[in-house]
Amino acid sequence: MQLSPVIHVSHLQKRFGKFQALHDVTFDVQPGEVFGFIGPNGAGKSTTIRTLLGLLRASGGTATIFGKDVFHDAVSIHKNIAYVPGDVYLWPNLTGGEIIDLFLRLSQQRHSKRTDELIKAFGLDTSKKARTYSKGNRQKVALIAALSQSADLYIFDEPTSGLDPLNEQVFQDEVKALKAAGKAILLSSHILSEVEQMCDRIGIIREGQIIETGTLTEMQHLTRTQISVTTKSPLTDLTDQPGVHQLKQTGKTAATFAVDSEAMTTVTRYLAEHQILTLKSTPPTLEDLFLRYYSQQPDQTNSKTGDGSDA
Amino acid sequence: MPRQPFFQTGRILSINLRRDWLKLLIWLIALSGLFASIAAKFNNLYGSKTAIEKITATLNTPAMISLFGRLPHGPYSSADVFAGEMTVFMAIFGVIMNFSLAISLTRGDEDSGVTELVSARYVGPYATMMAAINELMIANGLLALLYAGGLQVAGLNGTNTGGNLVLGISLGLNGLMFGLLAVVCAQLAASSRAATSLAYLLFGVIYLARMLTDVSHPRYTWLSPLGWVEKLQTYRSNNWLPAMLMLITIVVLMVLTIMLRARRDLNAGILATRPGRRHASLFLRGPVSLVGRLERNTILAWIIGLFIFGAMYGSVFNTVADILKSNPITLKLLADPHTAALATTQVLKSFIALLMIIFAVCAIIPGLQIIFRLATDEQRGMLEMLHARPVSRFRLNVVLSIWGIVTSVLALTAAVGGLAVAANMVLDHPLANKLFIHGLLANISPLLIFLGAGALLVGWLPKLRSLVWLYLGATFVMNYFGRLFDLPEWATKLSPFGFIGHVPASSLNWSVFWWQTGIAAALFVVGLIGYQLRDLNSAN
Repeated sequence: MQLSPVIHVSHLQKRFGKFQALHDVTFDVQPGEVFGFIGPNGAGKSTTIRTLLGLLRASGGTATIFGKDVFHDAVSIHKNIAYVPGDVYLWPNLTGGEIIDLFLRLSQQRHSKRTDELIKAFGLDTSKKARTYSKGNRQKVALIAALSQSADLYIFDEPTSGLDPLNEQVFQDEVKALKAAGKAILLSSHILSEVEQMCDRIGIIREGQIIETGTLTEMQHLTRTQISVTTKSPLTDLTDQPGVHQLKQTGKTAATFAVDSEAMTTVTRYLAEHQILTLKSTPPTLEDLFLRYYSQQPDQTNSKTGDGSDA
Repeated sequence: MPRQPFFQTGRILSINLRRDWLKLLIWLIALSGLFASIAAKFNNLYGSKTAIEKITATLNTPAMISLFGRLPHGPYSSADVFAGEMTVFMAIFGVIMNFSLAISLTRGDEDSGVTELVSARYVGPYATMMAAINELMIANGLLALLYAGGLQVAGLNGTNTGGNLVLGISLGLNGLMFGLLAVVCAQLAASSRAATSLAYLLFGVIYLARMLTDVSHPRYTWLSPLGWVEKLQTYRSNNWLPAMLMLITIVVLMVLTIMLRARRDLNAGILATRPGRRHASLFLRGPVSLVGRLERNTILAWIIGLFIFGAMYGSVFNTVADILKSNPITLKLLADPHTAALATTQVLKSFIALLMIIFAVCAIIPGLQIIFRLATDEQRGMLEMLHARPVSRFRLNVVLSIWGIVTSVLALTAAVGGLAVAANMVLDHPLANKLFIHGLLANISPLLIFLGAGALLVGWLPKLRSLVWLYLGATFVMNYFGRLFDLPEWATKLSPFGFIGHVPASSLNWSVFWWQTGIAAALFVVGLIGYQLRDLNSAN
């Protein structure tokens, strides 16, 4: 990409006393791109985001937004970003409406028609005191304030964890609109289907380290496709084929198994030799990818080919 | 839900105790240690007849009566002096302990969601509340035993076991009674902060009722629950009637709590929260107005409260002369009208100097709470979204510091103003305004040092910020007692209030004012630097 990245993170490290929360985080986010940031609890997603916001001071590496240092130029960066934290905490004796207006004014913007549209779309009662809001409603306050703000970069840290499916849809539509308008978006999420649908590129973080970045297609390439097949002649030596895993033979001529992407050509050739009757191939979902990177099951860790952490 | 309303109370209690044991231990050791160590010193301090005469003359002045309550009629033993000096004082500290424990066990756990998690288990609907009340009973019961035991061991001249028991047990019951008052407040208000404010508001009224009646008509002190501990006749007739009254009140408050709890939902208060504005007012547009909006009720309550507090003390100034006449030592001086006026003014000046420090300690509380928002709101996660906006750390820190300073100074001014207005209304010979203004000015520099110390810790070590409360508490104790125990010079200098003299009884020292203000400014600046550099933590 020829444009200069909105977010540039290079070998970012963060230590809390003896605990090393971030070992080595490197990724870029380009304008007009939705970057999905996934990883299990405690992997360092929020720590990375909070460092990008200048709340935490990096122990090593560099991080810039709009080409400016995230810690020292925090205020000027913050003029052009909108942020929604995963856990939204609000001042209990202010109403949702007051907080939305306050947040907009702090970013030198005002309550617009768009704000009212968003309040309607998310169905928030803005006259209630924040003390009475549920988690989902508190999240809506932050989302409305962020989405009705015009910014160049939007950072969402698990923004939909408390929303119902209808509101989640509203959120996804809004993000698509932002993307179409050429904004950069960093989306950290647990909901992998959401990431799969919305994100152009994905970064996977584990134990404070980015272990994989790329498009979903690129990543699918690194892992296995699920195959179920029936053939005319018996599949006697399927086990011996390289790149075949988790083989379940349901009969002499029927089998389901997972195949490494790089072994796909050889395996399909082998199957073709046995005269395919039916063939169903399922590409790996993000969930499969995710589980593959994190699962500690012996059959996964023992198999060496295409193991993500080596790649 | 199980049938028995208190099912599993014991199990919840034991879990709570495992969580709270250190906090309870610290309170118990601090309070009983203070009590017993003073008791142990008393035979030395006030063993001789002359020492007792001197101290009782002081304790019979209106200033001391307003602070400690009335002494019974003489002659006095060391034990009488101890009971006269310590009873109301320890009762106040017991109230502070119980408010803190009771609110955090009830509203605090509810605010943090613990109560909801526990109530969803197989437990009785009132079990969490009863466990909290039981913990208060245990804490106050142990405290009562420690007090009585401490007195027994100290062996004051003129002591008796009955008196030790009635004093110790009544102090424990008094604590429990106010603890239950706080539990009632926790049912009424919808957050722990609001519950604490409500409890202290009620306590303020009860305290003022005690103070006013003590100075003017001690018979009516029975009307204030805080006055009951004064009616024990400790080491005289050892009257158990006040203890009975406390016990009855405790039962009444317990029934009231259960009734109120039955009428409200979890996480809600009896006092309903009204819907508010759909849009922010034009005024609410930045950190300055945000703090103003969040704190306006608290700030107003403190200013009005301290004005009334000051006015109540001012309104008893005219009784000073009357009480001086009842004192054989001062009566002779009062025969001559000129010396009488002089002597009265002198006594009043010392009284003002003493009150000033108490006012200042009170005035520091709201200012420190505002500055501590930098840490408390950070821990509760509210500052995260503010910091993610174009609001610099510098700006936020300076805004909160200035709000804190302004609030404390205004609160102190209100107290002094109330004192001056009321005093000059009741006095035949009004006091010069200069006296009050100098008293106010002298106390501003130590006040700033306390706020600066708070800002310093918020900037560098936010988790240790409670140390400032501890320091403030110690300062309060030292000054409350300062004149009664001849504290060594170095001990009074441990607090910034130890350097300012007894203005207006002594003259205002501008050099102290300036160097203390300088130190305070340095504390704020160093704190600000720390706040610029450190990590900002989140709620999770």
